Amino acid sequence: MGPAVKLKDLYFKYSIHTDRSFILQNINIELNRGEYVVIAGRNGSGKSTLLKIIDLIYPPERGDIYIFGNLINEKNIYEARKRIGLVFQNPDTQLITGTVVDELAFGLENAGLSPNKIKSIIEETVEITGIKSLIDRRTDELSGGEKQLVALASVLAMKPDILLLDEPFSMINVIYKERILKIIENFVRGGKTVVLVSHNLETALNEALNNSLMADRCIIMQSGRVEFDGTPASLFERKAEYIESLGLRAPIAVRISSEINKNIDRNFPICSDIKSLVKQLTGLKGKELKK
Amino acid sequence: MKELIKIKDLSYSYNSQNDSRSIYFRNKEKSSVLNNSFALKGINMHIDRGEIVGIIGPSGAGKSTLLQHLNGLIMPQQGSIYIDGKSVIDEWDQKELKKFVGLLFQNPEDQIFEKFVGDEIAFAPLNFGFSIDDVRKSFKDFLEYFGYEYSFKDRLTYKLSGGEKRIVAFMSIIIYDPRVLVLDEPTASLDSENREKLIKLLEDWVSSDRAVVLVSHDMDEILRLCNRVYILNGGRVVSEGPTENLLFDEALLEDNGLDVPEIVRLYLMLKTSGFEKIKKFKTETDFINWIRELKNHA
Ligand SMILES: Nc1ncnc2c1ncn2[C@@H]1O[C@H](COP(=O)(O)OP(=O)(O)OP(=O)(O)O)[C@@H](O)[C@H]1O
Ligand SMILES: Nc1ncnc2c1ncn2[C@@H]1O[C@H](COP(=O)(O)OP(=O)(O)OP(=O)(O)O)[C@@H](O)[C@H]1O
Ligand SMILES: [Mg+2]
Ligand SMILES: [Mg+2]
Repeated sequence: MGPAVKLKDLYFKYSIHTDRSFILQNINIELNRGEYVVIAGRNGSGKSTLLKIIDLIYPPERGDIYIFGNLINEKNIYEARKRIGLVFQNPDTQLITGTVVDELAFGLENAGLSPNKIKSIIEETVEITGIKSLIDRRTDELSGGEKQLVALASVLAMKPDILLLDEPFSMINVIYKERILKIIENFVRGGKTVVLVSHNLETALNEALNNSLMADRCIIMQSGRVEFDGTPASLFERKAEYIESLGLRAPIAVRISSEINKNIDRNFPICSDIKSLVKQLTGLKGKELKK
Repeated sequence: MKELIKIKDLSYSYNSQNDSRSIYFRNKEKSSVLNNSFALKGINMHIDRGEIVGIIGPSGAGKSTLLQHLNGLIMPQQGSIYIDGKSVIDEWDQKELKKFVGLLFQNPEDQIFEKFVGDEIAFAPLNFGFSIDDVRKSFKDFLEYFGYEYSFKDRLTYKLSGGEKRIVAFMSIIIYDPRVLVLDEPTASLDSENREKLIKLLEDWVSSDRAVVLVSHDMDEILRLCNRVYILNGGRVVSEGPTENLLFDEALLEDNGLDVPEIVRLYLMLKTSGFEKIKKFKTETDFINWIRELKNHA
């Protein structure tokens, strides 16, 4: 059956009339089933475009897309699209004016499900996203964070096998963040593929919230190319300078341990999370006191 | 006069008329739409000259609703707002008020309406009577500051990335140099470099006769920038005080669905791991200096 997503030698630009160079260049990415992948990179580096390509919204200029092993063509694109769900960076692009329930029902009705089935899916979705108090509200009368959550819920209701999230945390606080991470975790456990675009590596890669979920891989984009593709650990064992050269903010533990290593104690190891940093600092204190 | 903004007993309701109920839930009891219809309930607040004040709280707390009151976009239904001593209801000319208080929307798409980046950024300052030469000059300065070529002015606004849109929206406000900057999630979706640039710019911009009101869900940013914060929850101010008091109070943050800043998590973990006497630090530089001291003492 092949990986959930495979992009091969892919090039993309938005319009053939523009003289600008490719927005995405030479992209080769495989995303496996049950894999949780975080994508990061500078503003304008092509993250949202990449998600839209995977969502089969735009055809590539060159290169191939395989979804669950099938090379995408005009015939199978509609079937393939049903298995993919994208939560847009801007929830307003996604929400059609109506009530929250209507929004959740929209895709399900189009898919021809029975009213009973639709009702039970909506109830389940409302439950896991915790938006019960919003269901009768109009989507254009919600706060920024509430909109983000409803946009996510409307994609979840479609039960995609490949879930693409474009900065779903950008306007929300910790309670909702934890809820979304829980949803991601359940998805991944169920063998589905989740791709998350985020500037906040810490939340995305997630020791911050004491959540057991850790991204399997992170992909860093730079000017439309894949600059890094590897495990979070292999990224974080590099020094803060490398991570910053990719336009990213290293997690606080990496930043601080790099600084200590550079300016105070050359033997101080680079720590990827706060717990190990504290452990190292406790050691430092003990050592210094014994002297 | 010390106060630039004073808010007294402000309440606001969107009067949501919500009866377009879906067939799937029509026979359920009506949700709490009506009881909750007050987005702001009896807000009292002041912003002084020279301050950067944070307004934080969970989604739906009323932050954006409050901010839109500060430049006359929403008029008080109950209570009053004074900007520079004058009531927004009847003592301010509305155009002057918008020039005095620059508001950055939470969603840049609600703000951007011109087709080209250059027109978008020049719109407000030209409208407020700045000369075209002055506008062009500061426009170039801001573009350079954020690392864009001058040709960026010819880009179509609706074809920008999320972060690019936010920077354009921000430039279109800061360019006419309002006295008060009211910013709703200015760094959401910015990459770390742009975020850093924006924060530095705000630090330099604020001076003894200006002020910044900042809404952000990023508590490290609030800790670093703000001298004072208000916590809003359910339309009310539930807590107010110096940033280093409120943002080091784990229980208070948790009660209001807010993140504990990264640096505070580090502080709290050290405190319970044998560093009882560690003092509060607001920035990583303070922390590194403390480690250096620790090392030198030993
Ligand atoms: N509809 C469009 N037409 C033409 N160019 C576009 C369009 N959308 C985005 N671009 C350009 O393509 C590049 C990549 O944009 P994209 O939205 O993929 O970036 P991103 O990595 O998601 O950035 P951000 O972090 O700011 O959201 C940018 O230079 C952007 O200006
Ligand atoms: N146009 C509107 N019509 C009716 N109700 C609204 C409207 N805009 C917001 N509300 C409601 O008013 C309350 C306050 O919303 P507001 O946008 O001020 O919250 P917020 O604190 O900015 O939240 P967030 O952090 O999610 O942006 C929420 O319950 C929201 O659903
Ligand atoms: Mg984007
Ligand atoms: Mg808001």
